[in-house]
Amino acid sequence: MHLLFETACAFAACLAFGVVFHLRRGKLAGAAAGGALGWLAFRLAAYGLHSDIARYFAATVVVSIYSECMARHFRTPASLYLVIALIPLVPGGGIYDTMETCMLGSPQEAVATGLHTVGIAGALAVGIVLVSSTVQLFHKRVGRR
Amino acid sequence: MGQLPMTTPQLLEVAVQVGRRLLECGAETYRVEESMHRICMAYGARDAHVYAVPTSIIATVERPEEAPLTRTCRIRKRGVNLDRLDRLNALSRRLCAQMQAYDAAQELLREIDDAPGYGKWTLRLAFGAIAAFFTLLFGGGAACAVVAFAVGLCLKLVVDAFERMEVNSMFANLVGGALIAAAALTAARLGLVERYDRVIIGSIMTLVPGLAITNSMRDLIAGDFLAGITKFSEALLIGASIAAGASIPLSLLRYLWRI
Repeated sequence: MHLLFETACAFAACLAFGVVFHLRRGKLAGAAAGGALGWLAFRLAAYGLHSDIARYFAATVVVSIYSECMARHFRTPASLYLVIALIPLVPGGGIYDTMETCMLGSPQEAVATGLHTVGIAGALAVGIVLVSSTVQLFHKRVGRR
Repeated sequence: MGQLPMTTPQLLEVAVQVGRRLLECGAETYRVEESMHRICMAYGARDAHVYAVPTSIIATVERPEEAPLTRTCRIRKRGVNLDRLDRLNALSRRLCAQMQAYDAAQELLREIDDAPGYGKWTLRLAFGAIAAFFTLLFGGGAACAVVAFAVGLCLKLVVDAFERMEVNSMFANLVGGALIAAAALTAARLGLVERYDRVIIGSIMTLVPGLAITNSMRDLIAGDFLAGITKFSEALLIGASIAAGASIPLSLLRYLWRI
C-alpha cells in the first residue's frame, strides 16, 4: 500500500516536472509513467540488491529501456522521456545530507556523503549510456537511424 | 549546381539557427552537432564540421567549387524546453527529407518560436506540486506537503523575478536555497510541520541540477569532453550555491530558535 502511494507521488511529481520542462500535454502522462516505473523498480530492487548504487543503476536501466521504447513508438527523441522519468532517482537528498554534515562540522562524513551522491549520479549516467549505446548498435546494423 | 534551394550563407544561417535553438532548449551536444551536420549534408555540402559546446557553436560548410564558409554563434541563455526540442528535432528531419527554400525554412523556425507554451500560473502551480509531491515521496506528511507547495510556489515567483532582472544563476540559486530553508524552518517554528528537513529536500528538488550532472556525464562518456566539463562545472556550481544558500538560515535560525 505504501509502495503504491509512493509510486503515485512519483507519478504526480514527474507530471509537474513535465509541465515545468514544457513537455506537450499529449506526452506528459507517458513521461510521468516512466518516472513512476523507475521509482517502483528502485523500490522493488531492494529485495534483491543490497547496495543502493546497484539499485539506482537497475532502476535507471529500466527507465532507459522504457524511454527508448516510447521514443521508437512515438518517433521522438528518447531524452524527452528520460529527462523527466529519471528525476525521482536524482539524489536531491544526497546533496542536502552532504551540506548538512558539512555544516555540522564533520568534513569526513561530508566527503563520504558527497562521494556517495556522485556515485549515484555516476550509476545513473552509466545506466543511460549502456542502454542508449546498445540501442544505437542495433539501429546501425539495421541500417536505419 | 544552381539546383540547390539555398546559397551557402543561407544554408549555414539555417543550420546555425536550428543548432542554436536546440542548445537553448537543452538538447544534448551530439544531437546539436548531428542535426546541423545532417542539414548541411542534405543541402549539397561536400563536408561539414560542427563543433558545439553549451555556450557556443562553430560550424563550417564546404560545398563543391566554393570556398569553405564558417560561422560562430554565442549562446547566452540555456533552459529546458522539451516541446521545442521535439519540434526542432522534427524540423531538422523534415529539412533533410524534403528540400526547403530559405524563406520556407525561416517560416518553419518562426512557427516553432511562436508555439504556445504553458501559462505563467500553470508553471507556478507545477513548481508547488513538484515540491509537495517530492516531500510526500521522501517521507513527509500531509502538513509538510502543504507547506512545501507554498514554498515551491513562492520560489517560482522569486525565480521569475530574478530571471526578469537577469541575475546570474549562482546568486539566484543561493537565494532560492536560503528561501527554502528559511521558509521550512519558520513553518517548523510556528508548529506547522515537524520534519522540516523533508520540506527542504522536497523543495530543493525544484532547483537541483541532478539532470545536468547526469547529462554532463553522458557528454563525457560520448567523447564531448569540453561540453561535458562545462555542464559539470555549471551543475556543481548550482548545487553548491543551493547548499550554501540553504545553510545560512539553517545555521542561523536553528541557533536562534533552538530547533
